[in-house]
Amino acid sequence: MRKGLLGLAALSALAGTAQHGYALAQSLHAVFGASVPEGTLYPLLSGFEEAGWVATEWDTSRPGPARKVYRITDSGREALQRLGARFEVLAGAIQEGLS
Amino acid sequence: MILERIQDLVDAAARDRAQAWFDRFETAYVGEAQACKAARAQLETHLIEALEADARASAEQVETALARLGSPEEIAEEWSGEPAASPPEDAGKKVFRLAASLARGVCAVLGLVLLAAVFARLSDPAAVGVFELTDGTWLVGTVNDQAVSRDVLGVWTLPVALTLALALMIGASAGSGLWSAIPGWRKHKGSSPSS
Repeated sequence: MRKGLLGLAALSALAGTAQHGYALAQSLHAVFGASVPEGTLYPLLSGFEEAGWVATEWDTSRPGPARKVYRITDSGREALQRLGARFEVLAGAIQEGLS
Repeated sequence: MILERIQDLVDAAARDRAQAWFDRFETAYVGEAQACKAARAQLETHLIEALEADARASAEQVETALARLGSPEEIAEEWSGEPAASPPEDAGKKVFRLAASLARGVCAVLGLVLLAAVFARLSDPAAVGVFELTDGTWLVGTVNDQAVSRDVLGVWTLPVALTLALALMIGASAGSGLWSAIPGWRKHKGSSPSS
C-alpha cells in the first residue's frame, strides 16, 4: 500500500519535471514526512527504469559525484494514469465508508 | 572542500558511521555484486547530496542524513526483492534448466517402474521376472503355464534394482525443493508447542 502510494507520488512528481533522486526524495519527504525512508525510493525508481516508465541520464554539471536524473516516459505517463485512476476509485471507496 | 566519496569525509567519526551504514547495506543485500555496487553508488550520491557535498560534514550531520535515508537492511530488502533488477537469464541457462527438468522427469518414471518391478518380483519370485523357457525362448513378465528352464535374474538382482530405483528417485527429487524442505520440517518438528 505504502509502496504503491510512494510509486504514484514519485511518478506524479516526475510528470511535472525530470529530477534526480535526491531532489525527488525531498519533494516526497514534504508529502510523506519521515514515515517513508528516503532510501526506499531508489529500489522503486530502479523498478520503474526496468519497466520503461522512466528514462535516466547522468548529470555531471555540478561538483561531486554524477547524479542520475529520472525523466518520465510515455509508458510511464500511461502507467501514472492507470495508477491514478485506481487510486481515485480506492479513495472514493474509503470516503464512502467514512461518510 | 568537495566530497566525492564517503571515504573522503574528513571527520573520522563521520566516515566510520557512513562506512558502517554501507557495510550493513552490502551485508543485507541479496543479489549480483555488480547490482549491489550500483545500488550503493546511488545511495552514496544521495548521502553526499544530503551533506551538500561538504567533506567536512560532522558525525551528527552524517547521522541525521543516514536516519532520513532509512535502515540499510530495509532498503537492501526492497532492492533485493525487486525482480526486475536481476539480469535476464541467458538462452543457455534456459536450455540447461529444461534439460535438467526432463532428466528429473525421466529419472522419476524409471525409478517408479523399477520399484514396481521389484515389488512385483518380491510378491512371487518364482513367477515374476525374466525366465528362459525350455524351448529356448525368453520371457519377460509373468509365467503362467510355460515350462521354465531357468530364472535369468536370480536373487541378487533384487537389492541392486531396489538401490537403483531409490537412486533414480533421489536424483529425480534433486533441485525440486524436497531436500530444502527437510530442514524446515525438522525445525518445525523440533519446536515446542508453545513456541
